[in-house]
Amino acid sequence: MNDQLKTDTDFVQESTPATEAGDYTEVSIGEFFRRIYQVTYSKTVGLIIILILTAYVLLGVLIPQASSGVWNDIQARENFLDAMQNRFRGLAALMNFLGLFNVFTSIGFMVVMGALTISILGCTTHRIPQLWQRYKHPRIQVSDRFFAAARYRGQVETAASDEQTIAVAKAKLKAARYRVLDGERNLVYADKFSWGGIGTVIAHLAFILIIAAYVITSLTGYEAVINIPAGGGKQIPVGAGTDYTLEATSFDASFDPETGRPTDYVSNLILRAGDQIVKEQQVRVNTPLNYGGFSFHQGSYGNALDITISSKNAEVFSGVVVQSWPGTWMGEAIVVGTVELPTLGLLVDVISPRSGVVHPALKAGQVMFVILQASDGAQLNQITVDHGQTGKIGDMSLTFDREGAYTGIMVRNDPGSIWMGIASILLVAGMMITFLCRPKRVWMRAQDGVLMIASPDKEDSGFRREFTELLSHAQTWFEPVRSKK
Amino acid sequence: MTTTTTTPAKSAVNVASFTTAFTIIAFVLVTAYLGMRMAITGHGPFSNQHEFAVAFTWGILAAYLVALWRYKVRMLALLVLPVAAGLLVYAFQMGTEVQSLVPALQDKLLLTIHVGFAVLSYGAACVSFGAAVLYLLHPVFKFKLSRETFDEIGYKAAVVTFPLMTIMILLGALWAQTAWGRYWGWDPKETAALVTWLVYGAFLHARIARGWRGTRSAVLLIVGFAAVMFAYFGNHFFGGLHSYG
Ligand code: HEM
Repeated sequence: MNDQLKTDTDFVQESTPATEAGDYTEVSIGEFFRRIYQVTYSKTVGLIIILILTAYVLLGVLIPQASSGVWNDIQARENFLDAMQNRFRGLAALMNFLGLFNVFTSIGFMVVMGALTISILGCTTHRIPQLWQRYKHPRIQVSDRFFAAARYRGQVETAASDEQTIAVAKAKLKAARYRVLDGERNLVYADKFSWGGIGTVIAHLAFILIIAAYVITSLTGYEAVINIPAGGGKQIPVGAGTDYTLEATSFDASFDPETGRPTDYVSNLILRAGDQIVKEQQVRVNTPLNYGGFSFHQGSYGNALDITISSKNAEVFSGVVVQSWPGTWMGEAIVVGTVELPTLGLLVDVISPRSGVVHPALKAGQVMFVILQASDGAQLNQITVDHGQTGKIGDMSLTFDREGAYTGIMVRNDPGSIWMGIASILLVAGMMITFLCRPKRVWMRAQDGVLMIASPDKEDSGFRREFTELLSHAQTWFEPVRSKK
Repeated sequence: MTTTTTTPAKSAVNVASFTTAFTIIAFVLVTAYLGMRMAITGHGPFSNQHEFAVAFTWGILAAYLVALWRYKVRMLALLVLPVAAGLLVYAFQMGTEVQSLVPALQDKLLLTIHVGFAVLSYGAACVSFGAAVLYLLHPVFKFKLSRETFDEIGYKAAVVTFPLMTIMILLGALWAQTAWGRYWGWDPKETAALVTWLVYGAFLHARIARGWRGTRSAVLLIVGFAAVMFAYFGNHFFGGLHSYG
């Protein structure tokens, strides 16, 4: 007896059409696709995919991951894999093969995300007609047994005629902001939030939009760091196909005098498009400069050399060289930075003594430029230049403008982020609707001086409380009934 | 030694009432402490492990008191309060001094809201953990309350946890977007939070898809809270941007 109610009530029961045993011999193309569709909307398959994804993401937390910067740099990747070899020994090669050191860009991960997308789409498309049906044409008619067997049920005796009773019940339900629909034989159906199922549709589509936004970001997002000398007036090209340049008029780092912890980094930036100043702003860690779809973030800072290189009287480089490689030359410690000159097929190493080191060949305030062939690293020439001076090698002139602070600005352009924002709002909205606007249904029938009230909804203490309240309210809708004895 | 003359039932009621009274007092004190600390530092409790652990404790006590008010199940305290106490002990093992904020953490309003959602969602997760454990222990201890009550509390608390955690993660992404221009970087802390979120998502779908209730659903809730603790204490063993604290 309960079975009939269960299928009626179980909101999420899948109505998988029974397949006859004999059907298997001939699977038409339509049938084939129907079965594939069945897999995509199977909630069990969906759950398994979510669990696989969970396990996958967990591996990405537990196993050290190479950042994309490391992964895309052959040398850095090799160093990273060597370190992993030491740590995981024989397993490292297998782990690398399985993509476990770059989980989030691995093929396996993309396959799981793809499967999740398809599954969510399947579930949602399958669900929409059901939700629409429930909203537009809810099942109204119920059997008499329903009132005797439903999960929530009760009754109130009334002195009025059945027609009057049901009219009162309808008016009261409407006043309590139920949607009320008439059934046959003094029956009413009432519901609240019958549209609430839209919440899960919104949430699921929002999640797909999140995945899409992430894909857009990964494929089209632009990201680079440019180092700009603080002061000195140099305008550094932003690149990325724009004619923008950035100048930093100053950079300041402040520290807590007691603990030495940094408290603020501020760059004063001027953004130009061509010769035109388009924006001037103080950029801090949490206040980027935004312009034309680009954002400029405070990234790093430090000390660097400010140099200019020209070839045949045309400037080929003007900017900052950060000396980040340590080395030794003539037995003394040095620091090296490299400038790439792709148009000339050359590299220029810029070398100074490590600070505090007295170098036999390089005086303080001097740098040495070493010119190398980009293709094979063969050393072509070298020259030592004093601060503020220019040295010449053939038709190249190399100027050591000054040494000073630079600010590292992260340049980003991410067409995906706006979609991520929209998707986030939709996801939260969808969840709020889902969890705060749960559909509720009540049936009432007046029969032989009794108003029967029942609902087959899921067991829930909140709804039970509400139902009990409705029942005790219903007692007050009618004149007290004189004892029939 | 004194002998008590009260009946066992009566003394149990008294102990339970005392527990509730103490919990309320503890909640008020933790609230006051956090309030004063926020007034002194001028920002929410997110700048170091001490502040966040106290805030986490606050979230657990708040979630417990809400559950108590809704369901009148004082037994939850058996599991929830030890977690809260453990966190407080941990909080005072960590440096309690007031520190200046490093630049990345200076978006005070956004971070305060971000941490607020984290604390509430983790608190609700702790309550659902407590309910799940009591569900599993039910046959052993034969509590007076029905076993289904614990199943429902576990589920309801998870239904609160999930959206709050969603908002927390999205606010974290918004912060990363303003500070670094990228909303998601797979840094271990945010990735661990994603794992936790997926576990709770799996829990909700297991209930819908497979009708998981009872034991299996309780086990998932315990795994979910283990994931919360892992994401929380993760700072100690994985680096990344979030290791600022
Ligand atoms: C990680 C991505 C997903 C998110 C964020 C998500 C979110 C949600 C939420 C918040 C609910 C409401 C839960 C409740 O009422 O207790 C829900 C329900 C549901 N989800 Fe998902 N879900 C995801 C993936 C999936 C997948 C892959 C499937 C398909 C197999 C699926 C199918 C369903 C179904 C059928 C429901 C019940 C819908 C209803 O009652 O109207 N979900 N989901």
